Amino acid sequence: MSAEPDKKLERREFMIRATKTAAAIGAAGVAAKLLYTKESPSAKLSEKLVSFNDFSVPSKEGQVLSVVKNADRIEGVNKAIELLGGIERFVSKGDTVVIKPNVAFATPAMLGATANPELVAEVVRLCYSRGGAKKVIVADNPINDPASCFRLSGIGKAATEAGAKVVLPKADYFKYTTLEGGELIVDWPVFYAPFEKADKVIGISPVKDHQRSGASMSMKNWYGLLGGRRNIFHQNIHTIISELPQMIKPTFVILDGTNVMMTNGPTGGSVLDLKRKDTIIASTDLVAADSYGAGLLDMKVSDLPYITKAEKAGVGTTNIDSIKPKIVT
Amino acid sequence: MVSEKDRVGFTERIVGVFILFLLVVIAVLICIRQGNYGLERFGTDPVAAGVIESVSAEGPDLTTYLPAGFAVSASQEEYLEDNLSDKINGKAPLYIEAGFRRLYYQGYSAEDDDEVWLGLYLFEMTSNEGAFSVFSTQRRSGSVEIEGFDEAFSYRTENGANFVKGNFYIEIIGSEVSKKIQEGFLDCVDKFDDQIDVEGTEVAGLDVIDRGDLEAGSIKLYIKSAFGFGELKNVYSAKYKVRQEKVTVFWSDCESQDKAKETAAKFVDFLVEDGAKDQGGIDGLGGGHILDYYGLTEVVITAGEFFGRGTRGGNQRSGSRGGYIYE
Repeated sequence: MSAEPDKKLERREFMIRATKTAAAIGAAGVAAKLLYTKESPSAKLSEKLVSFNDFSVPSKEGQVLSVVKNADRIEGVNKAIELLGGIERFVSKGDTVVIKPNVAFATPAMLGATANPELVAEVVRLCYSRGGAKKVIVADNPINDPASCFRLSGIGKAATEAGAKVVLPKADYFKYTTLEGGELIVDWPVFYAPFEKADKVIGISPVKDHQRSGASMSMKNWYGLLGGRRNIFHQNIHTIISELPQMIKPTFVILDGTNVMMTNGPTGGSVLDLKRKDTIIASTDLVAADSYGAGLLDMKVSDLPYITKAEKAGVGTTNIDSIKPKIVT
Repeated sequence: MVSEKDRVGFTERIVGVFILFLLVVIAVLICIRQGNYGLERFGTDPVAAGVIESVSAEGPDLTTYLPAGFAVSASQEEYLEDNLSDKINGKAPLYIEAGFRRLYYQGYSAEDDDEVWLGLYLFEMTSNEGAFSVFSTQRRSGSVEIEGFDEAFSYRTENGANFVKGNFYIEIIGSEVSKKIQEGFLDCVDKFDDQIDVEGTEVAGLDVIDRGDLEAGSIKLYIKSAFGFGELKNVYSAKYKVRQEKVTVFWSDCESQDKAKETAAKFVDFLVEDGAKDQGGIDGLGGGHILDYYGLTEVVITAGEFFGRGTRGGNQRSGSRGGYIYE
């Protein structure tokens, strides 16, 4: 055979193979394009999304928000809850109650960065003695090491001595949740296990300045339920805070404005950051509670965009007069 | 009839099969990996509090600042930018924006009572100015001087002390108000001052002012967006007493005379848009304006490459909220 036909054959074979290769690459590209999705990867398929129960109780006119001025927190909180109808309105015999205090930092109670341990203990005792609760759990997912936070804040010891079970976060206590209509709480791990069988949920938080959001009060307290690298939400702080009370609807909240952290929040660090305001707020409406609390920080509602965002989302009202608050000086 | 050249050789066939097999294995592995996708691989561990870095070799050993009567209570902790909020939460952006490099933390507990403790936070910043900024903007009113130290760079409260030296800012927090705590944190401050090795302690911008009538401890440095005005960065402020009146002055190095004048002109417009009334120009000192800003007398001037502002009268609140300095 001559060399010329062989060369032609090789060229033809080359062209055929090159065409097939190009077709394969093209097909792979088309398949990749069709399969591509912009959405971030979702949680493991084996994980079912959960959502928190609605722990709120029916609203009662004139018993939505109470404010008590008293230098004694314990007297103040008893009076504030009494003005909303008493603990019996909220806690029924045999209930499992979860109290979620702010235990974010490993700092002593006197610095005001965490909930006051005596206040937490008093609410635990009320749930048992007057409410008839079967079980009271105290739980939080702190910023710093959980065991250190519960110990150094004094909340662990106080809650335990009052008869509560303190639950620290563990990996398998977290489940994934998505807030319907939420922008940020999408397929996000939350500290769920303590709340799974709860009948009632009570939030307890101090009134604090916050470097990023302006204030940390009853709504921000629920940030402690978020898991994962939750600090990424700091870039969108007002939106995340407004989504928290939509994610979980507590029975009522207590906002402790006895010794308010006026500056250098949320961690504070000096007694000079604090100012006595001797005020306890109890409320079934977190927007109303924070609206009133803003005044304790010498701020207006308009200084805290998350409050109006939450109001727009239907969480509550900034029009405090409309809910006929009970204010005792 | 197929020529010999058209037939695929044995070696070629083996290589081809092997490549196909390899591609199939790769595809299966990709499917397995994607199928077992877990958010924790991307840092969304359900429990992700307090990621602790191992102690870096070049960092200071905070156990050498151990105050008398105390013992080291735990290992030294270190934090970088991406996990700083695990320690100080919402305050992290304040430090990051000022040039944060690393946080070293050490806890000490009293030898006779471990409920009594001190926490030492040592922030390493990228510049002296950054360290001074985070120190000065968080300064507590009502704080007092630390004997033997310049009050512009240090202060103490009943339960702690704050001190800046070079590009380091140190914050010591005590668990209670007591003599033991006070002695402890003052001992820490002394040791820090003796041991920390810094080249230069000057803060640029402080050498342009006369500190004679300055209210001790009032100097602050705002790194960005002072007064809610984005063009002003690295703005110093200080309070003076002038003929029994309190005056707050602000100054910033704009790096050129033209830039200073341009910044001043824009700032005057900014105040006027916000409701200030322009009372007229000032001759000398590069020119300037006097304005009435809701009862406050505002003076805006330039001096060489410096922008300056003075405020007199009214009740101002200090702090920085929403970018605007008010007091």
